[in-house]
Amino acid sequence: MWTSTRYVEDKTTFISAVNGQLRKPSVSIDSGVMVDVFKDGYFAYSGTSDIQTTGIQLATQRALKLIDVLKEGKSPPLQSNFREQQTGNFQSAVLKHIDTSFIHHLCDSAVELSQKLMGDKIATAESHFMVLERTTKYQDSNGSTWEQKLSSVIPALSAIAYHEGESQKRTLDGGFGRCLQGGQELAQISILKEQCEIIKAEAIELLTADNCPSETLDLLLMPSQMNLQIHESIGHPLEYDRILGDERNYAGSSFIKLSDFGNYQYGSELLNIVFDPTVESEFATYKFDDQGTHAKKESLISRGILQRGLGGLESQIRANLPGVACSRVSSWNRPPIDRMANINMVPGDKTLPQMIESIERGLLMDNNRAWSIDDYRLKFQFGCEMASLIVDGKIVKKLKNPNYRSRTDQFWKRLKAVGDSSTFELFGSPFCGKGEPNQIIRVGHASPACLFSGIEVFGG
Amino acid sequence: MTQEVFLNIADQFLQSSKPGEVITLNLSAENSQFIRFTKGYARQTTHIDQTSYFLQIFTAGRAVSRSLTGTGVVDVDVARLNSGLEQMREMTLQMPPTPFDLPPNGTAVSALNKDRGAMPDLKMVQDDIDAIDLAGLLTFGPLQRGYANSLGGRQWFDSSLFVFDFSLYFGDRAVKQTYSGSNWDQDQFRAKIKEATKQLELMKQPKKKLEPGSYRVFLSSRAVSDLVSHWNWMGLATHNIADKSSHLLALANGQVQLSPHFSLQENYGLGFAEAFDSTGQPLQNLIPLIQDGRFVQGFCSLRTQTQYKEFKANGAHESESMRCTEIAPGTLANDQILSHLKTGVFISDVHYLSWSDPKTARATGMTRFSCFWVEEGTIVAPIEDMRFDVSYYDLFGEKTLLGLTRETDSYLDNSTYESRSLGGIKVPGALVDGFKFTL
Repeated sequence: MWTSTRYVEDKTTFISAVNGQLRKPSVSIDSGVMVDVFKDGYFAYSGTSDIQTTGIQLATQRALKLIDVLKEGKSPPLQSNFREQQTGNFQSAVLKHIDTSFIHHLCDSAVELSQKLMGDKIATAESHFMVLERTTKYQDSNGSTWEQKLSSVIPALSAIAYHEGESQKRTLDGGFGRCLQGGQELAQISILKEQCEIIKAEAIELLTADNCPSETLDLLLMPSQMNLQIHESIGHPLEYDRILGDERNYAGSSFIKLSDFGNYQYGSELLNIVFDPTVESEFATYKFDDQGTHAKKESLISRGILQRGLGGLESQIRANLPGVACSRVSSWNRPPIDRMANINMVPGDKTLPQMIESIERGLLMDNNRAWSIDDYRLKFQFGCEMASLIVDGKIVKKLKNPNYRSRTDQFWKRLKAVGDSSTFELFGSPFCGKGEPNQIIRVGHASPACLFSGIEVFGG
Repeated sequence: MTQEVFLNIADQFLQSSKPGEVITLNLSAENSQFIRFTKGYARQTTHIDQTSYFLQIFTAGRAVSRSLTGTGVVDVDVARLNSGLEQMREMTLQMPPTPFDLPPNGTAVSALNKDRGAMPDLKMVQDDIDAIDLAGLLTFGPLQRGYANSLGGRQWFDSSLFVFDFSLYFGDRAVKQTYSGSNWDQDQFRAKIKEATKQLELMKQPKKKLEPGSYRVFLSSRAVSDLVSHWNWMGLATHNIADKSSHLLALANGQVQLSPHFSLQENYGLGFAEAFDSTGQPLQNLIPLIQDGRFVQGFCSLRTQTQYKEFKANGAHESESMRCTEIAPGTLANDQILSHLKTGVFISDVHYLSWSDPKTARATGMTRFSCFWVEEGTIVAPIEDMRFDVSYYDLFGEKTLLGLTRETDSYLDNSTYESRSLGGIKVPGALVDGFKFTL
């Protein structure tokens, strides 16, 4: 018999202000232990918020009972538990640690930023800070013992402009997109104040902007939208558990087959994607996944050819393919499943002005506001907060309600220019949902600006 | 957790309230088993014993909330709660006022302990799905919700529920089915499997590829449930209407009306969820939201009333979202729906809804699972999944909503993010003209 205990403590502090007034701050401390047991070829999981010795003993007994039931069923047994022995520690790179006085300071800052966003035609001005602190302590009967401490401070700003029945919202990076690991240094209030002025002005400008036209043209996506584009149409389709059928009833399957790895032309030769949980400060950086596998960088797509998928130890055995350290949990109360971590696009060689100058007629879009894709991750429709019309290499005007739609198996083949490191930015999301029972985890996506040809766009 | 233990913890903890403070305590507890199925076998089995508390303190014009996990052991949890409360008190001394968060004044006392019926187990399911490619999640076990405040309010809800949300497969063809309730009946479960298996046979025919354009469609009750539940996302919450972020603003402002056959209301009499929240106020049993196509009101909490003076609280849950919701039935008979549809698309399920144009309440999504092309009242072939992009004002509009079924189906909220959700919706199917497929 093999057993492990995974203690997870999540402290989440949420500070908000609306129209210059603080809302009730909330602090959530969610902690508990998951006991993983492997016996006679079967895994079972039992979690408890009672972290006293008696609580953990009871959880272990329940896991053993589950295995007895599994043995009588028709589930195929595994040959071994596949877990590696690991020891060590990891901590987010932090310049200044989060403390109580910082949280109090955020309450004042939220009010100040919200006031800064207010003005004529602004119906609602909101500022938020989400402060995340996670501790994971893992031990198993193989002798593994490791600990990770991750922390993040995520600012979010938004202004809703309203006039004569028209409502337009503009945000900082599309909501909670500015996700990074770190400490107090991530709450750069003076920079956020400058952003408030831009957000407010653009929300008002959009009220009288023309609607996005319906036509097929070049599309230049900024990193704040590439964040979502990579997540939905590269990250999810490459998850082994989707391909193996585990997710079919809920999140969905994938158009990618196991036989596609190593040969499928996913995109143009300019497309290079990596799984990289080692980037300092990126949102889903870690040393160990939640099964204790040591995390390292791997190429997923190289020169447009699909190389490797997203699967932890168990999925790698089931798929008979190499994978990555991506067995992750949303919290103490869920078993590990295949997830993304940092899925990043490798920069190319074009500056943003060079890409704009190369466009005869096209749109530049940033900040996601709408997203929908089918359960095989093929037909998608995404919307952004704002677009800029580009004609003969120059930005002509702003447009409201921009949307675009395409198919994953066609879209990435239309990638015709990739921005250089000057256009490269780190984003992410704290809200990636998947799994039965459901799990939300944090993902990071870093990307340069990218130019696509012949994309169908339309407006409101 | 039992009601007795909760009341014991609440009584001891709330003794520590000081003059000038109002303190509230919510409990969310579950003892759950999750069996995840892949290809007809149990892929992951998990047992979760989870006790979570939600505290609020209101003092000197300031409010702070805190969530924390517990053990269910009285002394241990009371000590944890008191420690959390001390930190909350300190925070209130250091922060600006929170004028929209008024202290609760509810002192209602209620308790509902529902009968605990039969729950399933792995063997009961596996005996009836032999050799079937099935994927899904079986969730079962007891759930408790409790509430207490320092003013004397005490409320309790205990229920034991199961939800088996599953789909059957033939290659990439699938049929979705859900069996849920509070008393597992093996015969009812077998009937669900039989019905899904029969539908899967229809899916084995070659798929028909549709061209983008407008179609006459029948939306199953499950599809209607998903579409209307999408209104929880910046739709019918009064705070969204007030701050202009609602995508149903034109409906709420009276500029647009839906079909006179469309009526939507919140009805706690359906019993899908506890009828209390963290305010201590009893929730209104019936809240008409849309009546005969006209907007009546959104969900409006006390907090929204405080912030936006022009709106009046209507006994809605503080989340301002659907929890026990129903759409009034129509007159179409389920067993004649294909002949009413004539030629068009039978849509069993929709997937991944997202607003695409806030001003016109337009949303995009995909068809999923067993959707069929129907000709002259006869199923001809399953369709290749299509993307749609439609305005809800058209979908349920006077000219396009041709009718609703007289039969309704109930769907329990099967969300399990962080913990098991309570709630549900009871809806009919809908016959609709001019449904726009785009990709």
